[in-house]
Amino acid sequence: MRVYQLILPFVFLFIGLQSSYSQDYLKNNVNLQLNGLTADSVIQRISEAANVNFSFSHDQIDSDKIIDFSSENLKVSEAVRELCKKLDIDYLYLKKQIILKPKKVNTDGIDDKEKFTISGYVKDKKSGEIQIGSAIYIPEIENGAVTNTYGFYSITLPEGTYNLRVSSIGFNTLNETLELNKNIKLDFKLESSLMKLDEVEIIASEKQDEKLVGHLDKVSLSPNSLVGLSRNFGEVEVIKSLNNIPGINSHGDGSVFFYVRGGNKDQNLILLDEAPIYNPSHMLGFFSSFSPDAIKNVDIYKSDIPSSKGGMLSSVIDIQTKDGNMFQTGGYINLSPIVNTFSLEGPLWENKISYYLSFRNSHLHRYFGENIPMMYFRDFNLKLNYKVNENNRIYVTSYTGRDDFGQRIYSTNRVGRTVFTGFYEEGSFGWGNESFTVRWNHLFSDKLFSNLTFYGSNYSYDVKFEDTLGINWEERIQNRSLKMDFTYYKNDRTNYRFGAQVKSHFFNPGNITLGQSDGTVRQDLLNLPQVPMKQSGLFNLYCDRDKKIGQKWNLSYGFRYHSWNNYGPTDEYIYDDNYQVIDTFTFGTDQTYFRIKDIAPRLSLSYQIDSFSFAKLSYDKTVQHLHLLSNSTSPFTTIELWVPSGPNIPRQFARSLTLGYYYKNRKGDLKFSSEVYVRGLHNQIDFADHPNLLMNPYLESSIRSGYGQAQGWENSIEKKFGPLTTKTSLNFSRSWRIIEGVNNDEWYPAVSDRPYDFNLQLTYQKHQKWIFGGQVISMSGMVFTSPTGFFNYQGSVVPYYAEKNNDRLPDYQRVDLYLTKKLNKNLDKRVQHEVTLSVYNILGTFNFYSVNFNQKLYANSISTPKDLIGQEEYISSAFGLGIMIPSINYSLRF
Amino acid sequence: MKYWQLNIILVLALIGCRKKVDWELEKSDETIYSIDALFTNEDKYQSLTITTTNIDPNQIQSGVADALVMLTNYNDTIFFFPDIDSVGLYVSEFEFPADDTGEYVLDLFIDTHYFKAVSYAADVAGFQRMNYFQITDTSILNNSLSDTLYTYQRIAPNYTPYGEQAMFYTYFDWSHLPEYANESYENTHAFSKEYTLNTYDISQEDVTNLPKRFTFPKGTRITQQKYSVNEEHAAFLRTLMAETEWHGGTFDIAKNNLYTNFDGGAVGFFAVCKVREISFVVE
Repeated sequence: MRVYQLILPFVFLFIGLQSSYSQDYLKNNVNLQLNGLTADSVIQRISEAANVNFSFSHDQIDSDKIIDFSSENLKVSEAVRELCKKLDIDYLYLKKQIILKPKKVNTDGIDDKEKFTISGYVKDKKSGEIQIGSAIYIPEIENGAVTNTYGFYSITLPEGTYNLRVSSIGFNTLNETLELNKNIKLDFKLESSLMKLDEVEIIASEKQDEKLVGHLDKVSLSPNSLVGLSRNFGEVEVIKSLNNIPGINSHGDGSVFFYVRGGNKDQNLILLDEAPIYNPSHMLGFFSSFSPDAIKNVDIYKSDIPSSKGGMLSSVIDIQTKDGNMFQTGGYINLSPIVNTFSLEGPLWENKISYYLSFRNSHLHRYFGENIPMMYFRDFNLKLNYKVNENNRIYVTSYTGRDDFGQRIYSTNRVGRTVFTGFYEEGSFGWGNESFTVRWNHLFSDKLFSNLTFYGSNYSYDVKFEDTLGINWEERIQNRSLKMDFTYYKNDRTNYRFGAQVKSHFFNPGNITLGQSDGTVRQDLLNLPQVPMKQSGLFNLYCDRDKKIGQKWNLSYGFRYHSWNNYGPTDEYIYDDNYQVIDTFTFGTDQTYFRIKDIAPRLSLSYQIDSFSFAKLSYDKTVQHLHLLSNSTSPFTTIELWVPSGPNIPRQFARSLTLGYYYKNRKGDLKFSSEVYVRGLHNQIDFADHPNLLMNPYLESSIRSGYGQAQGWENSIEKKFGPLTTKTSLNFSRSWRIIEGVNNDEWYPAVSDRPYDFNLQLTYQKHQKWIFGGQVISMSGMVFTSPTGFFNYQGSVVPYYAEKNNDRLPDYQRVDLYLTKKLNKNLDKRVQHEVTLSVYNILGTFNFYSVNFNQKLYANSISTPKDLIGQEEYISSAFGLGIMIPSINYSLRF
Repeated sequence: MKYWQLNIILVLALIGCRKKVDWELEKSDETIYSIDALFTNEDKYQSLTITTTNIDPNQIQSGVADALVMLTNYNDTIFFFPDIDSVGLYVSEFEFPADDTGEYVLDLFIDTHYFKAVSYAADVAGFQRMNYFQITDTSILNNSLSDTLYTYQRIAPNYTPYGEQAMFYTYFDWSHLPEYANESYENTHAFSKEYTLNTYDISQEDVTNLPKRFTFPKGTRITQQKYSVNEEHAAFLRTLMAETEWHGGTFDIAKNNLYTNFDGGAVGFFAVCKVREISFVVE
């Protein structure tokens, strides 16, 4: 990592601070009472009294104009504003100079009035929790602002009286009238509403309309909107619920893998409080890594991704966790057949420091005998939130999640009970994610918001082969990052978001290690093949501008600059055209040997057709330098290697073009959207036949890369019929690849190719205490390669394939239902509890993981044969999930 | 709900289940020749088979007659002639051990097609007799002809990072036992293959996809053979396992054709191996 890359963000910070401090003189007082003087004289008197310099052109400013001027106890800034008002001119501060200039006539042909800024935070009145994505709507200008990830908003308007309508899902809308004649800091505290789900939907709908149109490609899920999502073993699952969003397809049952607009499964950036989570799965993928209660908000971007959030090709899933209650201690308990969750939050220092902690663990092992190898997972979230003062706030987030599978260890506790205490090392495997984030919000002014983020993230997968010698196989990806974000709210029509990020990565693409008794790890002693570990650095610079043009058009554009480099210590192999190693280069510590730069622009243009509809066209380029090497077609988490771009693996990039139409009726109970897109995906990774990816120093020789193309048409409609709310989406898409060395260099459908995808969500709530809901999912099955013949080799029946992905599994279909009953008589009580009954796949539809042709039907099972001359016949067999899974869970919130 | 019922639901939910399905495969019009040629250092009539692929895995593949087959080692050329009793089987013109350290070149002419492969024999080290054990858990029995049945776990480790790669063929024969005198060939014989390779694949460790274990009675004659495997042969065997025994589990991988050393578009493999053998009777 280069030193300048580390320093650069702080240069940004320093420049910002300098500009802030250099204008301190504006706070000095000026006391003058001048009558019947020329403007020239008045300017001179102010200059002397305040010790500031004015610059202006006599040709442009009527300096002979006779005016009266009074500035009793006014600050310099206020005196200048008063002077300009009298002369009907504009001004600009430049260091210690005050530049006077003619007033600009804006594009609408209306003279600019003097402008002031309203800024502040939107919070939950009860808990003090900041509200992300709250809308501050101002009917007078038919425009407004939306709070950012840290609950901050800023809007600059001409002097006047305005009605402000502040809304957020799950809260009562707040109306406030404001006389705007100076800069105002105003925090809004919203009261939680005891609402029904259909009401949530209406507010969500209003909120969407009140948002600036530039964020149409973002879908936000808040805790309240999560309630209506499907249940997985009784739990609301954020990652699995992404399947309900048009353009996002799940791999299938028991999987956290998903594909966005024809992309691969490794092209989705999942952020937990800014830190990336590389494998968001528990229990092979039956559960995701995120405790539903810990989540405050999820923003999902599938196109037109903000430049500040780039890094992967197809989507960003930006998850923000709860900050913790600033005023009172509370908690949450959720009990279900497989997973239990316990959360606690409260103030450490009232209205100053809060905490939130959550622990979740599985207890599947309780249902099985001690001798049966079993899976176990747990995760732990901790967040501290420190409100230093009005302008500074610090957040600290820590997340740890871990899965283990193996033979369990039981021991006797102090009261003589046998308890599960861990896993025998030998033969066990597991994986874990850890992340740690520190964020510092700082307000340089009411228009300039900044956030400095440092995070560390670690993902590892390990297999413990041998206990006494400590022989383990491990793969790992680690990174650290420093990121400085700024948002400049110039006025009600223009915003800028800009910043820089430096990031370092460490990759262990899978090696066996020998743990020594002194704690050191030796690899060489085993005389095993060593896969070179890699280091890389990334520097990003980014800027976005949102601009409203006239009353109808919105323009948003920006860029993200990537500078990627790989550095030692490591070995790099050089391959010939036949992927045979011809040379090896060894690089020393910090020796940079590969560098690549990119600029990824984005542009979106939206047009308000009328009060109820608008259209949007967007283009963006995305770049990705991290690649998941996996030849697996399984829906489950397995050994998958993360590797960096480098001399043998080109970085991936994609260009996307999206055209959308959006409509909402006057009543707000009908919403419709339709989008078409085309994507060109470059340097898409696939593999040579039967790639050798594990413990292979030359694993890059198995990689092939080429071009991909995806196009689709996504439609969604939301309609409310009294207590029944429906959301329907119907999508058509195709995704193809052409890669040299794969499928005889001909086009083939990508794994993400799902020609159709239908989703229906229903929520019925007639009474506040009962919620009934469900969903219907139907989509094309996954492509796979089926044989076009068989032959015999030494007793084995071997398939022969003519084309890659020439066949398709049957359509995936599933119906889920759930029923929630709130158990309190009085819903105003602080302690609330409820019970939810849910059924996953109520029709018991058999959904295929795979179809196989190498297995035989035995008396009591279907297996591959060990005896190659057994009399049983080979059959076609399917592996999948085909049962209904009922669940019950009880939750208590206090 | 009873405790065991809950267990079953949870296991099924977490791992999934298998069922027989009717699946119509797309038949290719293209004629694909497969060649199964494994010559050893044993002094015997060496043989190979040439067939075409068939869409039904249970049908005997149609053998290819009228092929011209010859094996060249330095300046010696040995011709292979079709076996009149078995179409597709070609037998060497005389007995010979393929024990030369040099390259063997196999040439095949079938109609207008020409296929060629080159191989050589690696060395093979000695090995130990396999371990077997008597079954005490009757739930794994797949027949009830005898209550003294045996089985085994593995003959050899499937992974060695730098050690000797090898192929193990094991033949089990209990047809000579009086209580099995009237049983069919399939019910009195078993054959299994195992490999030790330098490569490691996760699907070979998939506990949800273990091959169906078989049993054999006391008195079974077991013949173990260990074959040497060169680098290219090992690459082929890895793909063979990936497409047969390891395939179809929880951690399934993308399907691909087997590696081959034949030029010209044929599938299969030409291997030359040195072999060692141990025979014993289960006691």
